[in-house]
Amino acid sequence: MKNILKNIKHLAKKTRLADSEKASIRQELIRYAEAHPASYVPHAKSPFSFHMRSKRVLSGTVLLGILLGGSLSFAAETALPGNILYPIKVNINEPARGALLVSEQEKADWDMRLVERRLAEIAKLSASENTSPEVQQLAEERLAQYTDRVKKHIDKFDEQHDSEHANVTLGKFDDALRTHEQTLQRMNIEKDDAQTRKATQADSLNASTTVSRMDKNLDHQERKLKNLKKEYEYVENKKRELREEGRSELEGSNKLKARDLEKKTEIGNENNDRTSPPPVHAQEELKALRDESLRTSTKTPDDISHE
Amino acid sequence: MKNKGAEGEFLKHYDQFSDAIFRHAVFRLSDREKAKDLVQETFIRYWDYVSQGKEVLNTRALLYKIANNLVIDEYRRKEVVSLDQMREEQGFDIGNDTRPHIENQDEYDRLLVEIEKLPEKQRAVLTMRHVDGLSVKEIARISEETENVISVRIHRAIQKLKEEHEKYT
Repeated sequence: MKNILKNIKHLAKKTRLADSEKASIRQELIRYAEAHPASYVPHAKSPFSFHMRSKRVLSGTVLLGILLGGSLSFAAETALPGNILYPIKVNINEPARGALLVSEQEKADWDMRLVERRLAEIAKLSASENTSPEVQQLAEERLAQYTDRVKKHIDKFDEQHDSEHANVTLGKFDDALRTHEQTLQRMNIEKDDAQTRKATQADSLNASTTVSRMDKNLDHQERKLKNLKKEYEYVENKKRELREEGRSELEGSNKLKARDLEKKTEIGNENNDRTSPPPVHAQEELKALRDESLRTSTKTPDDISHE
Repeated sequence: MKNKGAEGEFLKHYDQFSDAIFRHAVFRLSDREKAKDLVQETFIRYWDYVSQGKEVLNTRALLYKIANNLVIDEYRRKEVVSLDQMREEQGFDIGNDTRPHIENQDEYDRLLVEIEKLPEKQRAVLTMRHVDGLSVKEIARISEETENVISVRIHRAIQKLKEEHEKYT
């Protein structure tokens, strides 16, 4: 039986068209095809049509792209202005993360985070010796863009009479500015120290250039501080506005809170007469609220105590 | 110009499969000239099919299906001329064998006669399975039968060939 199959295969192998036969049929077919042309447009090979084998190559490329893109954007996270990856951080990573946020408050928080990041970048830039003034300038301009965004959020909250969110964001903004100021000042001191040390070590020829560089640096720092001052002014103005707006509201609520707390402390006193003093945090809170009421209200302390 | 692409593809398929279809036709028809005509007709029908813009998923299977249908048509139309008769009248020669004469040529000749004696359906599946090297699944699709039927049919065809073979030895 095996022999039969073997013989069939052998016979099959021998059976084929002679070259001349093949060619003559081919000619016939060409003639026929020309007489009966295709009635359709053969699909041009689109760049997206891939053969099975190249599909694997394609998926590999896509995978590589994702991996590379991912690690690139990850690497970009720590980039500073002037770095090649910095545009990826600012123009791709951050907007991508921001795009996922829905509520106004989340957006405001995110923009606040961005301001903090910009401030941190500036701090890092001024800490490093070899930062060109152009890059610093650019970084500061960029910071201004982001602070504007935060201010817009605060204004928006204000317009919507959402004083709570406006206050929260404003508070964060204020904090960020203060931390930044402290960092800058600390760095200035360190830098000045280092430079004076250098200047004293160097000979007189070098001293003049060092001094001029120091002057430049000082100018720069002064400008930075001036910018900061502007921001502070904004914060103060806004705070005042908000306070005036929310005064009546705040007063009412604070007084209510104060009364609640007073009650609580009394109860606490009664209960813990012999064992412990009234809860410290309650007392502190009460004091803080009273202070605030004093500041915000035009009434005298006596009025409050009467109430 | 647009025709050229489709035509080029078509001729490529001709170069690739013409021998296989020819082989199939020879084993089914036992007639070299008829087999040649069948090859041409198969590819003409294939062109008619693709030139209408119809999608072809498996060129090879489609070509065998066309060839198979043409063979069936041929059987219906004409009386089968026996191989022996053909050899006497026309000098039948399978293939274009230029190699020196094989010592057991007689055995091959007898095998061909035996294949020809098989019932048409068995001959068809035997050819597709052992000459064309198609899978049972492909044969089932081409002849529109279940795989089970095809397997049984192939088995019976071989059994029959074996019986015939033993008669002579």
